[in-house]
Amino acid sequence: MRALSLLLVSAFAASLHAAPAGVERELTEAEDLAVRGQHDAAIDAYRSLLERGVDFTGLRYNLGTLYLEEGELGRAVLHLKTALRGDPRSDDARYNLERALGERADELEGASRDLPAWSMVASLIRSSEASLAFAGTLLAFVFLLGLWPWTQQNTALRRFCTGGMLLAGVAFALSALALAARVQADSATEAVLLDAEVHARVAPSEDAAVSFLAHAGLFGDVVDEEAGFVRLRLENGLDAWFPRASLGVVGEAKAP
Amino acid sequence: MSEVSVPAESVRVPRAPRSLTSSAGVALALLFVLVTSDAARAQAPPSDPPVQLVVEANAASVQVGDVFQLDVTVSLSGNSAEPEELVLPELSDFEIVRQDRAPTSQRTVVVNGRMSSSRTFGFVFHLRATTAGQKTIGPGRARMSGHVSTTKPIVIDVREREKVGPGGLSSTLDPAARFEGKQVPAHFVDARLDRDEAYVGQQVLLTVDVYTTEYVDLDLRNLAPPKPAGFWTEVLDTPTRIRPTQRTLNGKNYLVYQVMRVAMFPLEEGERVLEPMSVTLQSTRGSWRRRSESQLLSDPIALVVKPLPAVGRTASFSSGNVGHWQLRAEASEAELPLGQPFTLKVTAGGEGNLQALALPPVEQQITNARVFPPTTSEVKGVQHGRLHGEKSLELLVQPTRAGVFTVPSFSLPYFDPDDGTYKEARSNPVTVRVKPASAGEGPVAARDSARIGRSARPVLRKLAMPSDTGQLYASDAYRAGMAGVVGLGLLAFIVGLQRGRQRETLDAHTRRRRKERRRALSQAREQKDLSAAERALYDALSDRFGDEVRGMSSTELGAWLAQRSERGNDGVSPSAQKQLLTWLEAAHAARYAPRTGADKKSLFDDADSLLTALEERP
Repeated sequence: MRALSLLLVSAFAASLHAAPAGVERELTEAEDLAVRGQHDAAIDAYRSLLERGVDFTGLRYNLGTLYLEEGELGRAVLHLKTALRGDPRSDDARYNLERALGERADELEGASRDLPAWSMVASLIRSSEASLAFAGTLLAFVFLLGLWPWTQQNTALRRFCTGGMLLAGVAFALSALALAARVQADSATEAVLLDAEVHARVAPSEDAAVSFLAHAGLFGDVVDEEAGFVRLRLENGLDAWFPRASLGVVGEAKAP
Repeated sequence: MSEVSVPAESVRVPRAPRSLTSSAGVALALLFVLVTSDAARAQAPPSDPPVQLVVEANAASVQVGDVFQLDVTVSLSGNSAEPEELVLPELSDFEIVRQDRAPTSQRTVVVNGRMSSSRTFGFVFHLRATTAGQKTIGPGRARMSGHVSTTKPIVIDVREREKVGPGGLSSTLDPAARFEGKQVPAHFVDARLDRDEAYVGQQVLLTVDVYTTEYVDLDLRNLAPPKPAGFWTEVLDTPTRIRPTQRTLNGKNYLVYQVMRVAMFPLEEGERVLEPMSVTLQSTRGSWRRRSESQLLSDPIALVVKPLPAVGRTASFSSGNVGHWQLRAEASEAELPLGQPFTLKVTAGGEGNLQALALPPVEQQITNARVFPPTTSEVKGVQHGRLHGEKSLELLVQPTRAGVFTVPSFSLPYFDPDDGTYKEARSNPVTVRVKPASAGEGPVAARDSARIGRSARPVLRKLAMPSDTGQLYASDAYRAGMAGVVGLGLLAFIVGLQRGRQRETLDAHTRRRRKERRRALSQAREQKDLSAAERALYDALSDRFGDEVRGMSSTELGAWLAQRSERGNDGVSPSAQKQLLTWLEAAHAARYAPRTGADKKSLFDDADSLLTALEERP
């Protein structure tokens, strides 16, 4: 078990990523530009970092907020949604995302504000936390399970194992649910409309009939992709085809 | 003060321009030399002496510590490489700082169709005068082909270093005042402060000038900016290309090279002394333009540093705020919607030590706003030969209510060293009009009923790369770790179960065997068969200790059990052992001397209790 713990710790440590040299200084410079109102320069600085693989919640939040200040709703929604995916409890990201969504030109009829249960669970916990909780409870449960047959001669230890297994089992089940919700949330491929105005079409072709005129900030789940077009399922359940070039995918490392 | 005099016989001339750089130029120059040499030879005596020794010093009067140069030149006519005898001058009165071999030159001339050649070589000594007095460089001698060339002794006047100013050290005196009524040296370094006394933290200007009577090359590599203990220093300028100015001292024309200016800020009170600074002069002289080198030392200089007065000092005064300062504040926006921050810049400008200047704690004095941590910056410059500059503090201010937002006037207490009093610089108040955000949104402020709208929250400061593992579950390491955990746990569980099952099987066998023995003992009791009871006991012993005990007599069994007891691995208590042996003896005796029914019953009862004792695990 001790060796197993060491293995786990090593595995977690290996999955951590170290800050590249000079990143902290560049982040500070970008922040200084932002607070001085030089939003374009700050956005360029953040994008440069993003393109070099420096991607985390705070950076996405700042980038989305700067785009929001500049009125680029599509990119603001994209980066704020990415920030929120990284840290679903970020109140700032949620607040600014709501502002960005509120300023969109499009109003979706029949869009439901009620979130599915898994989405609510996913909004309470980060992916890393769910992963660690799942690993921890599984470790505890399996440890007690492995120990249980060896406690035949010791009644007190056997009771402890049995009770611990029950508790660990319940915790493990809950953490498994939370992790499943996070996996579900993370695996959903969402795309945001970046261009100011785009024709939503009924089929993946420039010649297809226009369904409606969509504006920046509209987003939906990616359902299908074909011939340079992406079929989005909007919040109200409506499906429409959009040019791939006009969309940004939430969580994608490439900075649009 | 430093001084190097030039002897009359070795007056140097200003340097000629160096323009003969191309090969054609060099060839022309050589031709010119040959032609002019020929012309000179034609009018010169028919032949040069075989050997000629020349000794020259580039100073006749120096101060203790100064370094001067002595050139020893040997000229040979003919094809000889070395003179037959060469005695160098005695230099024991001086310290030889450096000794070099002068470049060797060879010259061939043709006079009236007759070719003759000469060779010149020599030595260069850098000598330091270590004690005051009339010091002598001894005569030198060279001999060649019966001709002897001898030089005269050279007397160098070595003087003690002059001491003037506070504590006997020079500090502020202008050279004109220092040398009034005295002989001015041909070269000297003038290091001078702009004041004799200063307060702690007050700016004092150090100027280093080199005075020469001729054009020289200055080697400033040894001239490091002074870093004396107890001072904060800022070099104002160290020019790489120095253009001299002209000045007349006691009727003599001097070229003045300003080599350095340093702003110095004393940090501690008391009399402070700055050590001498070294400057190396290089000049050319003679028809062959030999380079001559002299090292000049400045005099040590002193400064009396006074403490800041206690009278008039306020609690908010910071000891680094000495000088002349003004304070101003400005906002990046005159009008902005509620929720949007603006940049407030507070700048202190003036003369003094920017490094030590402490700006007022602005962020603590702003109310009704969210204030972000400030950043500071400095801009330094030189005005009228003194260190000036601005130190600024910028911070992001986000008003929390609509209306006229006022940034208060800030106070910067400082000490004016010219007046010797404490003063206060104040910034102007700054007003910013904060408009309510779009109506209908956001909560209403309770106190002034302003409508507070919703604007985006500002960017986060002090971002740092988190050690967040992100989607940890998606990593291979995580999955491998989980699989390993489950695998090991299940393995432990299965192995444990198997071990438990084996133990249960063993226990069941033992129970069955006990049951059989009880049944055998019961039948033996009914049939009054002591042998059967004895077999049951041996059977129990055999289960406990192995089949080897089955064939043992009671005597052998007693010895065997005793031996095991001694080794401590018996598991049968001594009383049980004794009881067993007694029972076996009694049973054996009963076979040959039948007992009464009551006695036999007692034996079977004993056998029953013995069986229980033997089956008990320790």
